[in-house]
Amino acid sequence: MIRKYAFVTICISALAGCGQESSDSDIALPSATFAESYAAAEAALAAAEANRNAWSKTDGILEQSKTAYDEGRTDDAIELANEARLQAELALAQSISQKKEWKANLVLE
Amino acid sequence: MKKIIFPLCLIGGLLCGLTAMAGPEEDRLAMVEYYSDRFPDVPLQEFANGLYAFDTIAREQWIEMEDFPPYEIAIEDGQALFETPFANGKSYADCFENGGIGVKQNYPYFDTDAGEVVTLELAINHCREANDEEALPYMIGPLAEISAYMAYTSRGNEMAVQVPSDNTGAVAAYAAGKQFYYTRRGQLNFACSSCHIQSAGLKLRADRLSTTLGQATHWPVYRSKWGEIGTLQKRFAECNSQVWAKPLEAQSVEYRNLEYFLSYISNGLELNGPGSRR
Repeated sequence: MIRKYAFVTICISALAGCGQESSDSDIALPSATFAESYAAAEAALAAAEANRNAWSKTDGILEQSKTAYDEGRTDDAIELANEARLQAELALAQSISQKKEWKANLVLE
Repeated sequence: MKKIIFPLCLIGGLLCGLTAMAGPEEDRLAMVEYYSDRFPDVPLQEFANGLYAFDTIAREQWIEMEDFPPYEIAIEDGQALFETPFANGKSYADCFENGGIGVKQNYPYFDTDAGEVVTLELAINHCREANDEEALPYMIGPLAEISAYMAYTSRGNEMAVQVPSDNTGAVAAYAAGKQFYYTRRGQLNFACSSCHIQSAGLKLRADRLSTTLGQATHWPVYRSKWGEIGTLQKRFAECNSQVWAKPLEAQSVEYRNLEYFLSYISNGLELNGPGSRR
């Protein structure tokens, strides 16, 4: 799990330039209960998908979260839900910033 | 100081404005110039062959593969499907200009009445639905085979996609496709352009990255990796997956606009589909 967070941290660094529109407060702290964490992750994912830019691993992490909860591993379930939420929030921040920043990728004009 | 700042701002604003206004033909010419400079030994038409234009070893393997092309069966099956009448007695030929023969170079086009980009695959399904037949899945299977046959009948024709400058809908669709191409997506934070413009010709694992120029000329493609023939939008979905972005639906507005942009960029190159790739 630490490795997964480390990877997400790397992604945050990589996205530093495109996170300018979302303040630090947009990435909320982990919620207290599984139900809250899971619902927050679902809402964040729905927002990313509505913006047509969800990341491909997020659905699977959310499924793993549900499985962990069903198996009684609540702490793992919350951690996974929070990871899914973070990914979805980063995806949303990426798509919002790229709506302006995509021109920075132009190399032929 | 104001005397200096104002003219600088004015020049900067004009430059930004010019950049924002670059139209399809300016984009295409810029691409031709960029890749011609980057690959000075590659003749323009060769870009239609993707990485085989500049990867000598891969090209040799590809030429051998073309002796018995893996897409041949798809062409035959596609022709049979194309020529089989619908239940109402009509056929695909009734839906397309010139009976659907040698027309792929004109796709996608912008349908002003519908206000959307129409790809060849979408037009095939429109034809089916207009004749009370069910739409076919877009990425693989019979629709890709019909498209392969239609591509085969268009071989040698120059790509001639139109983005009329006086059609605001068409220009906007092209611009949206261009924006998609340059937009970073997915957890790996890559844009299409990251690989196919900035890194074109460089190796990504075992293969070299193809150029934007020519990317739309040879579809559908039989990919050895897939073990079957698939459409360009299947490749879009795969590319998105490879940067850990959730793929959009085949024939979504975004993918159709992207195909419109990519196809225009290949204008003037001869169609060489269906193709084979590793």
